[in-house]
Amino acid sequence: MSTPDIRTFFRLAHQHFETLEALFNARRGMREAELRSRLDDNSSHTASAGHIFRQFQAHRLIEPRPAETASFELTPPVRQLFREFLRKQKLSTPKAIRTYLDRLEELMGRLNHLTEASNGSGVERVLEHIDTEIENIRTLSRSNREAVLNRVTELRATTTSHSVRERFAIISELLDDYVTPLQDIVHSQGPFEQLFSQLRTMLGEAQTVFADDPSLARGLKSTTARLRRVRRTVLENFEAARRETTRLYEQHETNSDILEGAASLLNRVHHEGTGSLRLVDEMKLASFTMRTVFQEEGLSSYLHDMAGYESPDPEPIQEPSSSHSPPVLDRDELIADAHRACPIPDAMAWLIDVRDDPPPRTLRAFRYLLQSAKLSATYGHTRKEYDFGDTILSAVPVHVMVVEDTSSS
Amino acid sequence: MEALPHLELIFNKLRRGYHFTPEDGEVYRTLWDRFEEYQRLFDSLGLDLKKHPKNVVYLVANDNVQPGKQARRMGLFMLVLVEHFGETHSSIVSSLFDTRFRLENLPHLKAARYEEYMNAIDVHDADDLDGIVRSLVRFGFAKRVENGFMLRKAAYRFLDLCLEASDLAKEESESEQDPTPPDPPNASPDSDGSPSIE
Repeated sequence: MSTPDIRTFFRLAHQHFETLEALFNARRGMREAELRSRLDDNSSHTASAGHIFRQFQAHRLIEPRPAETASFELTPPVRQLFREFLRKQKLSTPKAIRTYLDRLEELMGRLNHLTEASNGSGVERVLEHIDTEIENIRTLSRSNREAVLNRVTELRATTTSHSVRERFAIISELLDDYVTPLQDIVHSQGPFEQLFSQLRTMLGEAQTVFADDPSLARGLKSTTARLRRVRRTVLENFEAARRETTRLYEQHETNSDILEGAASLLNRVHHEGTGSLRLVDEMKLASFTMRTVFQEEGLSSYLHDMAGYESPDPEPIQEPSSSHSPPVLDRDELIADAHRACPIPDAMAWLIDVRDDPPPRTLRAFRYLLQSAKLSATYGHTRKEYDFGDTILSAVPVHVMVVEDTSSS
Repeated sequence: MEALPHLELIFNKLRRGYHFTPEDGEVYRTLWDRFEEYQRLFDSLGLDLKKHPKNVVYLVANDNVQPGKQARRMGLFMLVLVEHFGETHSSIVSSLFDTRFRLENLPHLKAARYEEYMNAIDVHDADDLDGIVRSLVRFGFAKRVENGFMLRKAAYRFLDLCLEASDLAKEESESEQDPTPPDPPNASPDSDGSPSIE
């Protein structure tokens, strides 16, 4: 078996791309016989399928599936390359990201120890590892963003056959399993930010310690810049994934809520009958017969006027004024006057003559005279008219005299 | 005051429960643009003219003039349609309004459970279903198209009902999971355990 060689690796990948792509798309790998057959069909080269198959293995393009010797799959680096270029990245669990963070934390401890020991060569070596881990985190973050966006795009596509319920379950899982736990990691107080902040401080301290070593100082500065770039990229990637997922979640949440609401109402009908559809009554659908008032010109214009009508302010209430209102009729004074004037042959004529009051007031005075215990009244027989100017009063004349007992007292 | 345009037509349709949408063209545009004037005019008759966020204008009925039975028939018809779409389509909202429905393809009399609901409102065959579609058209929730019908934006009002029911169900579920602890006995000196309204 030949030694792995990168040139041969890429040459084989180029010449047999279709076969490798088919293997990538075969979820459960491919049987050796099928693989050889494809190599036979697709190959325009002179080498036999058997030879190419062996070269695939030697240059680490394919490997047997675990516990299945007759089935083959792409090796992880080749699979990763396909995922990267075909934008079919897998979602990274928060656990995978934590693994990288744990490794970085461990390296940070070593950096701290070596800096304190002023071990320049040791710091240089550990910097290389730190750079690798930081880049791993960046790659993971980018592929995770791609994976989330791929899922979102798939779910948006109308060709997928998932029902509203299934879609909502998928998008909820995406949020719950990947996006929300990531948020816990990258938010301002989360382990990602804390670790990157500590590492930045530590790199700054190391730069102070190794200020006299220009090469190491350059390396430390480069790692600091890399750290800054990765932090920014991770946060951008996370935000893009969160935004897309949340937007999709909200859209599907509405659909899901509508479905749940309909199902809940139907369930109620199932158990309680159609009378349970009280919510429908809440729609208050109009349906009434009313003569079309707008056909009648008079009523229509009245309604238009009413629609714009605003009542004017009421007149202020007038305070009663003593200068305008007549004086109160003094009953005792009236009786005394009559008493002095007795006998009075015609009470009404006397009142008109001596008082000159309006008819209501005259009638009231007339009543006081008739009711008085000091005066006696004798009614005449022939009606007579009394002229008040704009009013004519008709009545029988009343003769008024002083009651004997009271005149003597 | 200047007479409002199309008033007789608008009033006659609104009082029968019709929902105006942009599909009604010029009449809708006038109603929408001068909504406040129409609203004020109807208000003087004791009628409540409403706008729905989905650009729908309709009249709200008094409690005693609602077409209760008819509304429930339409409501149940729509609930079945919504549930069916939720289980067979990737989206309810867009699918419902984009679909041309044919009576013979409706799910209402095809699944036993839906048929049971329909029978409960005296719907037994395609003619009965067509009767409900006629109501939906009359109220402006649907329109006739060749060989069938399509829903109009006014049908969002039924989706609002579903959302409301979903909220209620969530509230009920939350209150079951997190019941309010009962007051301790004799919490107040005059407490006798009988219910009271504050």
